[in-house]
Amino acid sequence: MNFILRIIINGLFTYYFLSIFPWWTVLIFPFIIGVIFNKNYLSHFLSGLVGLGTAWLYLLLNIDTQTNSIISSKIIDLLNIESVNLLIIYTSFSAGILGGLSEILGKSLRDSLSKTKKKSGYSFS
Amino acid sequence: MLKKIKFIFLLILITTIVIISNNSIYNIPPLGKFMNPYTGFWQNGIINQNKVFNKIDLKNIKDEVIIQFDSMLIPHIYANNDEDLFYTQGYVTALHRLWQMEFQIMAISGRLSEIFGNKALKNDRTQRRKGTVYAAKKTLEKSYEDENTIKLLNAYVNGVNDYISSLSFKNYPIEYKILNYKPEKWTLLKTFLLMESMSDMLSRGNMDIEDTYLLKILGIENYNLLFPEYHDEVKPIIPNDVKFNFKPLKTKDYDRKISYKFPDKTILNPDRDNGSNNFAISPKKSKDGSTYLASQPDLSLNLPSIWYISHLNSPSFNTMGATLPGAPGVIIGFNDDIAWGETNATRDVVDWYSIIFRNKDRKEYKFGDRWLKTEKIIEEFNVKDEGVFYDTIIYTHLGPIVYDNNFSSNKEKVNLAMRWIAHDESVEYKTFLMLNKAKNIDDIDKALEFFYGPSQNFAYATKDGEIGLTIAGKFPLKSKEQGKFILDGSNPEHEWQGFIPYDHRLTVKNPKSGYVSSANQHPVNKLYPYYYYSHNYEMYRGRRLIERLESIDYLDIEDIKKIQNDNFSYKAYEILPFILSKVDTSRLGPEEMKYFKNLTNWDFFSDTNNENPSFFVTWWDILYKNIWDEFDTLKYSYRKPSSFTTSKIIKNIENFQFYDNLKTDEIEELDDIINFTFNQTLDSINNWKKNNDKTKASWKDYKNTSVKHLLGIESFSVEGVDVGGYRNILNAASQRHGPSWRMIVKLNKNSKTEAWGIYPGGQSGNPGNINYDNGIEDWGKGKYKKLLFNKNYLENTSQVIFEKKYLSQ
Repeated sequence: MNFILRIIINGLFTYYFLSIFPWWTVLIFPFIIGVIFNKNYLSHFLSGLVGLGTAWLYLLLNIDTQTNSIISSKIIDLLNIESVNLLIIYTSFSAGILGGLSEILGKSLRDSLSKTKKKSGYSFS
Repeated sequence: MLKKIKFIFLLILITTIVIISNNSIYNIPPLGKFMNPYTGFWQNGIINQNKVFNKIDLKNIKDEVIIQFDSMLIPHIYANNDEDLFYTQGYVTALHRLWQMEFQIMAISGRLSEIFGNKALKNDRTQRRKGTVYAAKKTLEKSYEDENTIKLLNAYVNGVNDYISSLSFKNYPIEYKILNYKPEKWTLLKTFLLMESMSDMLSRGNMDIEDTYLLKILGIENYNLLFPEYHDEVKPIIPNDVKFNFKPLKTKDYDRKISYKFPDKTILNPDRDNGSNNFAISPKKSKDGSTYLASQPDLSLNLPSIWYISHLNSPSFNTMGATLPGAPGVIIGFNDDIAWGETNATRDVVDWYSIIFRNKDRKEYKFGDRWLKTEKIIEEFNVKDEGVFYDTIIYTHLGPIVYDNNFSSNKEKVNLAMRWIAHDESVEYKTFLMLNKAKNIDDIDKALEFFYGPSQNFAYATKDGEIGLTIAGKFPLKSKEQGKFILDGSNPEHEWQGFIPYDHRLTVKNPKSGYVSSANQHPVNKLYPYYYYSHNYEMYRGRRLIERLESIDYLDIEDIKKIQNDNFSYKAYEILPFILSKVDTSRLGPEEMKYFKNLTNWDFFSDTNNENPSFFVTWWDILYKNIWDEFDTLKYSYRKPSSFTTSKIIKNIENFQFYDNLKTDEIEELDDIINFTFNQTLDSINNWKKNNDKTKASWKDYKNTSVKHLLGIESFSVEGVDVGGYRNILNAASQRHGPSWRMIVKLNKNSKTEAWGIYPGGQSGNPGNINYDNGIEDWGKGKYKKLLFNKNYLENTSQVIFEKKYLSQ
């Protein structure tokens, strides 16, 4: 349940943030989720990956259909990519990977902070 | 500790990825920004034009303005005053063509290295050494004297800037996103630089340095044989029966002895295929008693197109036609009463002066018995990724020193100053603004007086039934052959001797023949009392045009369309039967015989599916190269004789030292090389077929006319356009050049002015817009679009895709 919740939060924030702020700001939410929720690394990575990846995939498919691939079909030549579908998949997947990495960055921050706390606790006992 | 390391490692990794994706590295666009569905390239896909139109916000209009766009995406602007009109023209042009406008200016100002880095530096230095920015600045200063013109130019500039300031990364033209830079403010100077860029394309051509060298190598007799100034076959623009009723200014001959050295390599000349044709038909020569004007400028085939079609309406203007993005008004077009079109009036308006400096610091140079001071200008180049590069350019009163010890000099003492008419201050925009609202032939005459360059053959027609052609431009007064070769910058006698007065201009009005025409040929016969010269007069299109106009007694619109799309190869007509007659048919195999027979029966029309033009053009190229192969051994920059001269020599001179092929041991004669190259041509055609997997070398495939994006991006370009014609043919569509706008205007006293037009491109400069290249197919096939032209916007309403009234804010 928590996993799906995280995906939804990631997805929704990406969807809305991207329309207003620079693209890299969407990495803030998976990071915060990584700090807040205490789950394992794999779970965090996946919810970041799926959350951001799906949001980008949806947005890209949407705009590309609206414009009949008129521009993407020309850009794939410039970037040496075989098809528009591949371009969309590569892009969403890269966004997803970054999302996943950002979420485990949050998780690793949480971990490194909590460890310090434990240490100071030991010194008192 | 380990966890901290993990955190820091991830932090660095992510930050690095973000920074890399936000910047352009090794010419890859900044991928994060570029791919963003909300702001990246995806936003440049335009299917619904309203997405573009709805952004229009005319912040600084003084009164109500109506903008309509028709289905071709041509803007129809209706304003209540001229300033609003040109403000809106600037705004709307930028809306569709901003990147191209700015890119052209970056190119002419020698600033491309700011975008492309070191690889563009040589080109940038060449641009600055030509002195175009220096000239535009002079013109800018001069322009303040004419308050009326400057007011309208400023309105245009403000319109462009208001559009630019409305932009964010999201709606930048895609090229900015790919190359990762931003649009700058538009300025008056840029509008003048645009005119300099036209001059650079049209009036800079010269062969003075090359010919000085060739004269030395070949001797006067051979030089004159290979590079004659005039041919008896010439049918000049100004008909032979025009009399010159004026007393010409006198010129003085000069002492021709000078000492000079040659630069290592001369800067590139403008493309020789830049040309055009235009003609006007008087009511007595047209079937329906109307006056017609046809204009077809042949330029480089680019996307975004060089032209942007607009309709401008205010109480003083109702003008439509081809505009240059960045310039106010219409350049080739019409209003209710007149129509006009230009072709390039080639003339040698560039001369090179050998400069003698007093000493190494180059602060003074010799002129007569005095030493004059030079002006040093240090040019700064902000080369991308490499920092600033400086180039010192020395100016004399004869112009900038292009070739010196810093540039293309081979370390010899070469100092050549360039005297170019485009260096002089000028007021061309005044001409166009006057022409745009001219009502009759007198108005046109008055307007053309202010046109200094690049000199053009203006053909015009009026509703009153008058036609005319004037060669407008500022032409230096020269004695015979002055400026054909390098001149002596230390001898005052070598300076230009003034200018030909406007009253002595070449003009023809309402000739008996019922037509006027031009196609970059010689302006006039040898009876004109002033010396004129160009290395590059066209010898085929002009004759064909005149012959077509002569052969049809009464023309209608279909005849005119046919003339503009005429694929007849005059060159083949003149030389092919002769060289075919020299082919030894007894030694031809069956395949060779097939080609031989086809060529013999060919009607010389270079139509799209014909194979004969492919064979002829290749054969002629190979033959030409074989004849003039001696030139390839020369040390300095040179030129080769023209096709026309070559074909005359072949026909008239049986034994000629140049016929020999240097690569072989034997001494070839004309027959040998004709037969030998026939076989080579066949091999070459067969190779082409094999490489392209075709059974037939159809002309359109073989020629492969392409309309290329200014950055050369393949998917933004259109290749293999289905179009006939070639260079030296009226339908001048070669590989990369061709008719960049075909326009026909019908003027009749009893009806509204009507016009037809088409160009190889589309109104939108955005490769992601459906109107980016939608005209190319029709253009290739010679189909025209009727232009929507009404004085009152209400009459357009049923035919427009967008209409909006803007109020002063």
